[in-house]
Amino acid sequence: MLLWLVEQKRPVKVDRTKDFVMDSAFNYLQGEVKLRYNPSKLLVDSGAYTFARKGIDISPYIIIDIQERLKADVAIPLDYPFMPGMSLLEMRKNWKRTIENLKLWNDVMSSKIEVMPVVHALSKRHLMETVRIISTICDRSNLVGIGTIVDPSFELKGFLGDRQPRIETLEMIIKAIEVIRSFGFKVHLTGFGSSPLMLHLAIYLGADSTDSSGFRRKAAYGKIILPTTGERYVGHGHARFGVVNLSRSEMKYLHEICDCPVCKRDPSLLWRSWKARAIHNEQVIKKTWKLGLKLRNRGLDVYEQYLDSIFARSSLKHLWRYVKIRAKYKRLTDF
Amino acid sequence: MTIIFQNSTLMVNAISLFASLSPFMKLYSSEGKVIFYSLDRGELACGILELNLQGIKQSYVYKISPLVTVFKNLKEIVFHLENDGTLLVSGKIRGRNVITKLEPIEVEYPLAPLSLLKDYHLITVADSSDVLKILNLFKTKDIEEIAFCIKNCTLEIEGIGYGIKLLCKIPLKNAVIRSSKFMIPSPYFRLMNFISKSSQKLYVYKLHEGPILISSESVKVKKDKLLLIVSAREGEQRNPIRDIKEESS
Repeated sequence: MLLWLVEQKRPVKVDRTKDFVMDSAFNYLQGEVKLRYNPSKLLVDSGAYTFARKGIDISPYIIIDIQERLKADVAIPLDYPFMPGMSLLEMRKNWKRTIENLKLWNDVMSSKIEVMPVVHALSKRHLMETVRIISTICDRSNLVGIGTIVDPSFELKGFLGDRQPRIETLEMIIKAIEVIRSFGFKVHLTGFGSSPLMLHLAIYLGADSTDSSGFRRKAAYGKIILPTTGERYVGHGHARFGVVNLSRSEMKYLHEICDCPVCKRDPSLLWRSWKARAIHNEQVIKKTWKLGLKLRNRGLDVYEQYLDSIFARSSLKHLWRYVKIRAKYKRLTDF
Repeated sequence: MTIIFQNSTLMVNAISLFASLSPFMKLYSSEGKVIFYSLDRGELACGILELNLQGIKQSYVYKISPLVTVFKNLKEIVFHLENDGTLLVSGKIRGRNVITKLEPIEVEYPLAPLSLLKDYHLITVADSSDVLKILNLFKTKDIEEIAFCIKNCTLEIEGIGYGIKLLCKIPLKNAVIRSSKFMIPSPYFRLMNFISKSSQKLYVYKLHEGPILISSESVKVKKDKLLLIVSAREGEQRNPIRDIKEESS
């Protein structure tokens, strides 16, 4: 499974020669279109969700230009996600515009850049139809991302950033993985690298690729990630939500066990610099990713046993139980 | 035309079963029967109410939640189906008539897995009261899967969870021809409760290549019945979504 670490104009690290990096065209709308880090491989998102949230209607050609000038290896076309409160008519209009852009990206984008479509669908049946359409347009694509999928209760089921998904969201993702796979594509799960537990779920579910912006964003909010527990607050006391302080044993972990460059030098840096926190968080995410892949290779039962032990202490226990059951049992309609 | 469903005990248990599976239920007609059903979000279990009635030509989907609230206090419940698909549930609360009106909604709903009901064999017929006692034993949420093993006229039920194994051995009175071993997710095991409340006997069948079927009546008889189909697995059967190739950056 690929892990794309999210960077921006103000990078956490300049030397990214060993990392797969994800950036957004939105960050380069103003100023110089030039990377300030050197990635091993670069995935450039269109920034569609940010545009939609800010109500900006941007020309697709501007995004294509930025993605080409940044020399992306993989580019996500400008899509039009479904937003909360949208009518079915508006969603249909957005879906059509997304498909039109997908055609545009395939026609215009340099052949050196792989186009990674993102699936948005209005129902399960529509999901199948959408992926079929994508397969006819994107014959050079390898990865397909999962966007927003609406279920019969007309609720949006996208996985957005650091928010914990609900079981309904996971079910939609599982369905989308099955459908995307059945058309021969690999699956990119957006945002599942935000925390160690979500990353483990992505590996267990068999995703082929995911990204992590959480390591940066959490650091900016004064939070650090620990391998098997949740995030902990080490900021200056201005945070208004998710404030969980470090326990004595967690403090001991930072001082004696954590081998990230920051903790090895001086763990107190975590309290002083967001970059130090981001470097620490990135190390934890990468170690989780490597461990997850290693355990999964040893056998799913071995991996399951490990995940049982770490999810037993987590508030995400119900998600893990659901994923485990879904992975073991076939749908009635598949018998 | 108005159709009246008279067996309210069966209807009430069916609606409670459906509500545990999904926010919606679907109504349609097939082979001279009226069928209500509800599939859970993962499509691993399906509750079916089979009524020996005729006269429905179209299919309708309803939201269940208003009914579940109404049933708590309602007595003498009668179900009417109007020509336009509107379902009227009437009853009495403290001598006053109450009517709940469910209008069909337009949503995409998966088909009922009725094709599975063609190839099956009977595993056992159990007394509902015995089943209810066993269900209580396995109530804990820490149990994730229930394993069934039938051999030498004994049924072994094992509850498996992280750090938990709970075993219960039950001698079977009725003759069991084939020995079987399979597992089901534990949340669905608890749903047998609704079938047990609908009938004195409970019929357990194994369907071809996997799922199990629990019915309030023998599936062969032409009677109104409540059914529960649950996805089951044998041994280490895996879902194909987990068969992936190694690749790392």
